[in-house]
Amino acid sequence: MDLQKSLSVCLLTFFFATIVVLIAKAMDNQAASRLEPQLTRIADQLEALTASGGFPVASSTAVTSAEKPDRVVVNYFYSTTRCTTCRAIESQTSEVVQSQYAAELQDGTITWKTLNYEDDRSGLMEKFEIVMPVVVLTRFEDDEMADWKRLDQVWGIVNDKPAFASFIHDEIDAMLSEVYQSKSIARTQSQPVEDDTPIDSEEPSPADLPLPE
Amino acid sequence: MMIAAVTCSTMIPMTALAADPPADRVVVMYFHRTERCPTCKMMGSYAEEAVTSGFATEINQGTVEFRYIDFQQPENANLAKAYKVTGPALIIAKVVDAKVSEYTDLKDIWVKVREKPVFIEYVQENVKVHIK
Repeated sequence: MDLQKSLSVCLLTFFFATIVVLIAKAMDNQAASRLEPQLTRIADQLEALTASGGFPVASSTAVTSAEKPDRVVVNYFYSTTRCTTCRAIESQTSEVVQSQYAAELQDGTITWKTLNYEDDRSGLMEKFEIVMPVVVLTRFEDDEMADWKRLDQVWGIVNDKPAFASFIHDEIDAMLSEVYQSKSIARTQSQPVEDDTPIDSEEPSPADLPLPE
Repeated sequence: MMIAAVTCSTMIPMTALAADPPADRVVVMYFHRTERCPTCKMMGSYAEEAVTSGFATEINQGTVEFRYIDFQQPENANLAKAYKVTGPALIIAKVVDAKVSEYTDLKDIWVKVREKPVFIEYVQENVKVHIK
């Protein structure tokens, strides 16, 4: 009788253990499918970062805290299909924000956001007249959007990294100064982006330039 | 001889291939990647339209040329390097005595592409400056 009871207990234990394993596997699969889009996105971002030369300086310390009611939001609007130049615009803009405005990111005066404008239902795409990936700066006063500026110029200068960084820096600074002025807050001027590109002393004469045959 | 020109450009106005180019002329070059995004295609077609519609006489005379150049093709690497092209770009070169005397990279094409008339005027004004 005892043997029969023991066998029953063993069989029941084995049965429940099997059920638990199966449930765990099913949950793993569900979790994996939920995570897949996020992992794809992370992989995209890592690829873009790699293409731009690695992680931006101070990215690990520039953690955005709660947004202030008066702030500048640096938005990068991307499309579902992402080209090389689009990725470069995103990573170079992010690099400027993270490295030049770490303090503002920390205290919530600046926020960095990326949005797929093709999936956007907020109306921002129409408001900002977005037809291609682009950087848009928005300024908020008391949590209401008070001003915005679309920076189409990024496309023309993305291949000149120092010029790009300088342009983004100047535009953010201009909008940020309005935030501080509107509240009469003193601010520490962020450091302008330094152009550390070596000067090409051997600029070819236009006469040496080739022409298409 | 001029058939060789086809290797580095597409959709070249046929009149531009009819004879040796004049020693003094303006060459408008639209540099693009092999794979072209919708905006890149739009800019190329607007630029071509700006040149062909605004300078039909000059194109017939060969004093203005429009070229599409795929800068990712190995045969165009020297052009891309010389004009510092690493992304889609529209460059206008003034040629005097068969040598480039000056050139302009029209960086505002990305800003103006939203409004076709503005884009076309921008290109035509810059071509005129180089024709003078």
